[in-house]
Amino acid sequence: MPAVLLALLQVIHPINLFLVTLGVGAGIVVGALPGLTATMAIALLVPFTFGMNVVHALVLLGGMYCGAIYGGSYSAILINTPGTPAAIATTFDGFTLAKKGHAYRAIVVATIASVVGGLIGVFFLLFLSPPLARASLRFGPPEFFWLTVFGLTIIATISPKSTVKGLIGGAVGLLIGTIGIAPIEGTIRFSFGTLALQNGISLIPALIGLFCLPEILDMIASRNEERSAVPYRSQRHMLRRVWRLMRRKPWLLIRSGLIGTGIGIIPGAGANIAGMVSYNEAVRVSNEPEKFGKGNLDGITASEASNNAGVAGSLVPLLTLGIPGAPPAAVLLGALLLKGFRPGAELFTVHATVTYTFMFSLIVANLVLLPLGLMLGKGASKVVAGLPVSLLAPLVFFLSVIGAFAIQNNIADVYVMLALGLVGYIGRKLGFQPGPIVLGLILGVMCEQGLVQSILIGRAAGMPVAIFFTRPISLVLIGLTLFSAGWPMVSRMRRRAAEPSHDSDSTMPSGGSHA
Amino acid sequence: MRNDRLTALVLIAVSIFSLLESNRYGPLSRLFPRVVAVALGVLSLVLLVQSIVRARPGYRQKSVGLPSASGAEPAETGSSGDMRGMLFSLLVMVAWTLLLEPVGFWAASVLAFSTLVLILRTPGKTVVWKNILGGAILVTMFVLVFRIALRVPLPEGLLW
Amino acid sequence: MRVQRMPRVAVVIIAVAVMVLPTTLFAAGGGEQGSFPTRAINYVIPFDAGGQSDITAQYQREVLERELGVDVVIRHQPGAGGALAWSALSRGRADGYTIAGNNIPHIVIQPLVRENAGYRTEDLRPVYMFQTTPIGLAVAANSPFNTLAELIDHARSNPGRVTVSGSGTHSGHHLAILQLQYLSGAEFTYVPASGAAPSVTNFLGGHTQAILANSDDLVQHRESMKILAIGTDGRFHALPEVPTFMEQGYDFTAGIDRGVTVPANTPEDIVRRLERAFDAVTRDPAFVTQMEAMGFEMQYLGADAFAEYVARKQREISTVLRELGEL
Repeated sequence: MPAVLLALLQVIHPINLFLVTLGVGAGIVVGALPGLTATMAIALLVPFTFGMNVVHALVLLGGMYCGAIYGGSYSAILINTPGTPAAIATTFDGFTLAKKGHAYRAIVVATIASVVGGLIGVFFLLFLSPPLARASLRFGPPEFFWLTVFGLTIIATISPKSTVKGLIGGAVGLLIGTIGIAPIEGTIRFSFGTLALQNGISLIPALIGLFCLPEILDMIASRNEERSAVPYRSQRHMLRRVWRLMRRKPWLLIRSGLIGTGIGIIPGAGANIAGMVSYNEAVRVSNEPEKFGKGNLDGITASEASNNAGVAGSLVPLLTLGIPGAPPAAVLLGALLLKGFRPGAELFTVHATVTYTFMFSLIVANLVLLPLGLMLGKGASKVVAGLPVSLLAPLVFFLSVIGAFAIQNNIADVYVMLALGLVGYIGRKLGFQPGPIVLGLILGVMCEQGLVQSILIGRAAGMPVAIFFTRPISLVLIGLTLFSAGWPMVSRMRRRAAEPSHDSDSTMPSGGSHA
Repeated sequence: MRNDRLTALVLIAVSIFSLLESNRYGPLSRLFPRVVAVALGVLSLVLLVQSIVRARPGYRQKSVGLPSASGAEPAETGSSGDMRGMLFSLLVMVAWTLLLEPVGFWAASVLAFSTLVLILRTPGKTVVWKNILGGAILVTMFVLVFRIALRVPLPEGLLW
Repeated sequence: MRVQRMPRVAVVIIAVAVMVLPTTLFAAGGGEQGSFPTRAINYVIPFDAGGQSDITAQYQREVLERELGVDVVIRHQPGAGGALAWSALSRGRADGYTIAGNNIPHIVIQPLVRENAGYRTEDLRPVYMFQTTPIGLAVAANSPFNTLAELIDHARSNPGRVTVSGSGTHSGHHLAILQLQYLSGAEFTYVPASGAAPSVTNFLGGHTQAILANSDDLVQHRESMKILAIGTDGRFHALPEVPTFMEQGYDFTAGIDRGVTVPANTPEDIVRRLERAFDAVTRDPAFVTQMEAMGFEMQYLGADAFAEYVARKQREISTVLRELGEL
């Protein structure tokens, strides 16, 4: 226990408070710029922490991690481009609000949700790390396979207007994900003999291209005099008003936080899909699913509470087992090893003070997020609103280029960004949204890895097919998948029974007649 | 509807190509792409059938899953806007990315940024030179931050 | 109206700069000496940030900057098993200002197994090799197998039944399992993961029966596993109780060797300058202590010895791959 007390004293030390704030602030800025991810932010910062003592370094990097994941919501809301992949689901409702002039309102929701979600995650990190980390190891290749299949059912939720087109988008994303080196035999697929495609299509350039370029082009085509593309309307007492609304749905916040923590803990799944899964559940549970995707505050809440909870979640297996739950956590592991710290039991005994200081600093980081996030968020939405399209469009494209390049210092990624941007633009005109394509791209790599590894393991055990259907967690995931895929039909029938008169004229966006 | 039909045919072609191409891969490398290609083909067929059925005069629109009413809100008005300006801007963007390496990240960006400001200006309303100057300052600051602070090796080309 | 907004934009940009720029203060410094180097050197890591190559480079940086008198900037260019960075290096300027990590066997295997890896091993000039990560074979702590002989006997009588986790296709782990199968006549099922960390996860979760892992992972997780053999010549300093493959009758070593490399046509004096600097870094007592504590083995191969070593590995690896029908 004295270690915990020492850690408490350490964390309120002015230097540490300053470093947390600096980390969160810098993280928000980096995360808000499209293409600059949390992973990259931490990797860029690690060399500068070399001379610091371990507590200062961890506190700074931890703050940066929280800030960057949260910061991704700004660009998601303001320019319909997730600043980090974790914020994809935030675009669905956030940008619609922004176009109506409610950008700041959306940011306030995102901020409160992030703070609450982040704190839920830290709670589990503090109190339940060892058992949760051990449980996370139960997730083997078959479970990963089913998790990704379950993830794909989200497509039905995020493409309410045409499920067929959503599913086609998902399949295209999965196919794009197979470009490059195959996970098992090392075959090079669909490279058409070019060197650039051998490495596959990286997620970040694809994400920026598919989301951002169509938005820029539409912004240009529909520009109107010098009117702002994303107007800013201010309201008094925004924080209090929004909080009053959100307070009414505590379960939404808690559920999203739990989903984020849970998915964050599973090594390799990460915050990228936590936001989407949580969004999916929010739509399913809701009494008014048709309101999602049209500027529903609950959608933003679900996504943001979940992805920030995933931050602490991804640290659970890292600190207890030395296995990073997400790419940014992998870079944090490197920083820990650099300082001569070996994750595992030692961290909670010999180095308990350092470890607890780090965990407490995450609480501080999430608290700092509130004032700092509101301030920066207000600034960001005013700036974007203040810029005429003739300045905003080139600026956003410039940021896309620099982001696509910087992720791997590779010029080919900029070309990929542009090419997929064109695909995204044409697709959008034909009714294909970027969400399902990117979801397919994220899940495809994990899905194939899980599939072929399971086949290898199953074949060795003499049960190449049975391995998919006999493990308990797999069965749970299969159940969830069936439930999730069948739900749109169930809900439609329920609603038809409830209000038969509306049957013929409603557009029923939650529907998935072909799911 | 015609767009949907064309899209479906293109996607079916992609699916068939992927199936044929995957024949050259090993058994565990072709499994996943094949499954996906088949799924894509089947879904595209569904889209094709849908678009044909719905194009028939006697078809009454059903309540759910209308493929025609798709796309985000701007998409539906998209084709009516300033298409010429959009296409010009797109050309500039393509040139921008292609010039990054030979000319240099900073120079190409300042040049393309200024060109876009010119294309997108509203005659009489925009103070063009101020926007160009502002753009150049922004670009320069970002390039400096990335080059010097973050040590990202942006292509230098001929003119930095 | 719009123009008046500009200062506000400027304020935000300055805020960004203020948040990010202080970091440069840490990195500032460094003087000049002699003809090379006169400006910052880029040290490219062909793998992800946070991995072992990265950690080693971060440790080296401080001493390297002292030795060379200029800044050393570490950046990452992961992709295609390292081939992305190496092909970029081979096509870049041969002035010594861009150097890259050189990992064996990766740098040798990529051009062998692919029609077009973007570079040939000969396009790069090895400069210095500073460490080896031996690869070891382990089973779970509660596994019925206690020795390598027991595991191999079981695999011989049950071909393909024993699953072995490793870090990817055409990696050092893959090569090690191929060599073990070739020498022992046993048949394993190799389950490649997308990196060392997911491979360890698969093994610790009990999803595979055995694992081929780098020494630092073995050291880290030794409480939860039985290490049956290690791929060094003699006993490994960090795990002295573990017998080598050679001791147990399988005549091969397995490990990942790390060094640095430059484009092949780099001027001789620049190569020598870098060689001297890396030699000094590698002999730095603090560096040696840190590396050995993490489970690495030190190496001190200069440019010529390293070039010979790479050529020898190239011959060995292509022989093994050809005989096993992987080519």
